[in-house]
Amino acid sequence: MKQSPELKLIQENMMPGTLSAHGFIGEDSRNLTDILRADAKSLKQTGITQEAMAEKMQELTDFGMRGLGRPMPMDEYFEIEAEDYMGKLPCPFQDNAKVDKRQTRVRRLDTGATMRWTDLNIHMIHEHGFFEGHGSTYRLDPAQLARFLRMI
Amino acid sequence: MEILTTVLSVTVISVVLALIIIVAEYFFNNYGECEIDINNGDKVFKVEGGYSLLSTLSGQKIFIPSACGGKATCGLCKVQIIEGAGPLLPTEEPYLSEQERNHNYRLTCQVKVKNNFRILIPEEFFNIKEYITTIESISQLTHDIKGFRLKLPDEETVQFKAGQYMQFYTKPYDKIRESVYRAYSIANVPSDNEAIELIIRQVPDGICTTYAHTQLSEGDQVKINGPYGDFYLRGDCSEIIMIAGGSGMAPIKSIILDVLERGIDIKMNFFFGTVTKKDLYDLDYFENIAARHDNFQFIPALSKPAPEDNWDGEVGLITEVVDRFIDDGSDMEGYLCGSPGMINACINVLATKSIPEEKVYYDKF
Amino acid sequence: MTIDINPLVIFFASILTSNMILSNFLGMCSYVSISGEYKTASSLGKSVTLVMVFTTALNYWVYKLVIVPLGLAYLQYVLFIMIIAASVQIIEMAMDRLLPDLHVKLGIFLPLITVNCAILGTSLFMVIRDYNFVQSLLFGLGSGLGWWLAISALAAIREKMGKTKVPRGLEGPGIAFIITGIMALAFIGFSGIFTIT
Repeated sequence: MKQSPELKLIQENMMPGTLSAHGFIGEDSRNLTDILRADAKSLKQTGITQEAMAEKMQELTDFGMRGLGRPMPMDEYFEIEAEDYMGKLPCPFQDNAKVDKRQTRVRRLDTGATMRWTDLNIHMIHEHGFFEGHGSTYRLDPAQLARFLRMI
Repeated sequence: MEILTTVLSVTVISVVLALIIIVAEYFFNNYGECEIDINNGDKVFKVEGGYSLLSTLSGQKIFIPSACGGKATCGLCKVQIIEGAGPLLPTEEPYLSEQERNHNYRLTCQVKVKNNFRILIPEEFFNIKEYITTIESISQLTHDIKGFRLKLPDEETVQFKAGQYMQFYTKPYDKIRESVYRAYSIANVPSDNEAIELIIRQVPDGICTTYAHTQLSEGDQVKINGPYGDFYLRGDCSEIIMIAGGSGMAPIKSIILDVLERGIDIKMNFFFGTVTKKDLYDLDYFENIAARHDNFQFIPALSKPAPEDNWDGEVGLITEVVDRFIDDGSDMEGYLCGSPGMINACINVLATKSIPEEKVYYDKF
Repeated sequence: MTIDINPLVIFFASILTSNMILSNFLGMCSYVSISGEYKTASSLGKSVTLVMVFTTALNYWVYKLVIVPLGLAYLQYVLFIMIIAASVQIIEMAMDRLLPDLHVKLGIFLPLITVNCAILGTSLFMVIRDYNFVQSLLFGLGSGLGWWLAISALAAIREKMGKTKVPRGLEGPGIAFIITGIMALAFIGFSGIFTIT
């Protein structure tokens, strides 16, 4: 499907060097519309809404922030390390949102698996259902994330 | 014959249309020359319209503070625009208070120059200049922090206050086709004014920090401008608390060395907090200074020392450590530099020690 | 043969009974691809209307003053398209300069409209049906509004249907065509209210 001009502009915002060094599309050759649609389908199959997933991620990040970078065990499942940096990032979707620069690294204490995300990931998932393109630095797979967060 | 009329008429009409478009483009897209009047006739420039006020002014070598490179995420580039700006843009709204809007403050990075402007710029902005420096040395301070010493051109110096910052420009590299700039605090002392030292920490996927860490070597040239900033010693007190994390040490180091050099009679407590020992640097340097000066106390702290660190210093979150060391902060000022999370937490802990927020200083971007 | 029809009749007819999309099936490509979201579709509809009125008026005068006198009727397709392309360029520049707020919302669609066949279609219909200037103007306006109505309706329906399950093969363009067909059937109900040609 052809992409509307608005999304085309947003996809340009996501190119390397505009808002971050590697951008948010990565190696993906698909259109932004197609990326969004594919991930929406994947998410639908998990039965979890994008808002619920983003809120769970935010809950873990907030807990991690108490440690100011020190790994914080939350319960028997999650150990969270959250570190922030000065400045804010504007959201590429042109919604005027300015997001903190923060990276949250989470380790599953039972399985040893690790995942990481940024505050921008949380915002883009919550508001736009965007999990970034394949091969980008902070690409999150909806199904994998849902399993990791113990939501399915 | 008909072929001739056809070809002729299509050609003529195409030419006519092309001419109309050219004329329309000249008329519409050419914002033409615009006049910018600064401080009521103090300086008047004729510039080419169509660009943001921020970049138009820097083209005239007038530099307005900006930490985010014109993305409307720092709010530092405010200037009073008496005449010429259009309606307030949604991107500006979060950064302008009611009072500022009433006084015609606007974000210069968002306002486009399309007609004549009358603006007011504070005098101290005229002190800001641009420098093409050469990298004298790069030191690997920790696994993700590098120190840069940038030599200024001959005969040029930067007149700065300890604690201020410079803007650092990148060049296009790899897939990144444009130059960007970001703000970094000056780490050396004002008397050492033939060079500028910066401490830069790699931000995950950051455009400028990645450039600094991967593209620069000794001998390369780097464009900087400045100095900017309201973070400097006030000193209306007998004792100051300085708290830093990561690359936040830079302006604090500058202030400490400046105070000691000028013999200012003030007691300094410097708390430097990280998670493990691998993130600490300049430990010996500061311990040395503390040994030689009575009015300087150095307290490094780790929030989760690793077993191999063999750490026998303070342990805990930096806020916990500050809490242990300070009882009554009623005649103290606070100076903070580090991540926003650390700064917020420290403001809270200093408040519990009777140091009000007005007496706590930090770069707000 | 100039048809002696009240311009207002032409106006309403071109929206309801002779709708560009639903009766004539012109302008389908951008109609199908940009009808995913209501806001975007509505903005595109407004831009199409603007361009349609402008180019219809312009093409009328070019037809009357240049094509007919010089006997270039066989070139009218080529000339109309060239004029449409040039007009869109100029409209975009003028909008950017004079109405920047509007340009931010609608401006990005303008290049897309150059190749919208409904625009060329309107001009050609005007020639075939031999409308006078007022009739042409109202015809252009009505056709634009009708196109806007059709794409907005489709977008609204598709957004409402967003959560429902559509058979895999029909997702996207497939279901859009089916919805359009059903809308066209519904609009047939208007026929007889106004008649033109």
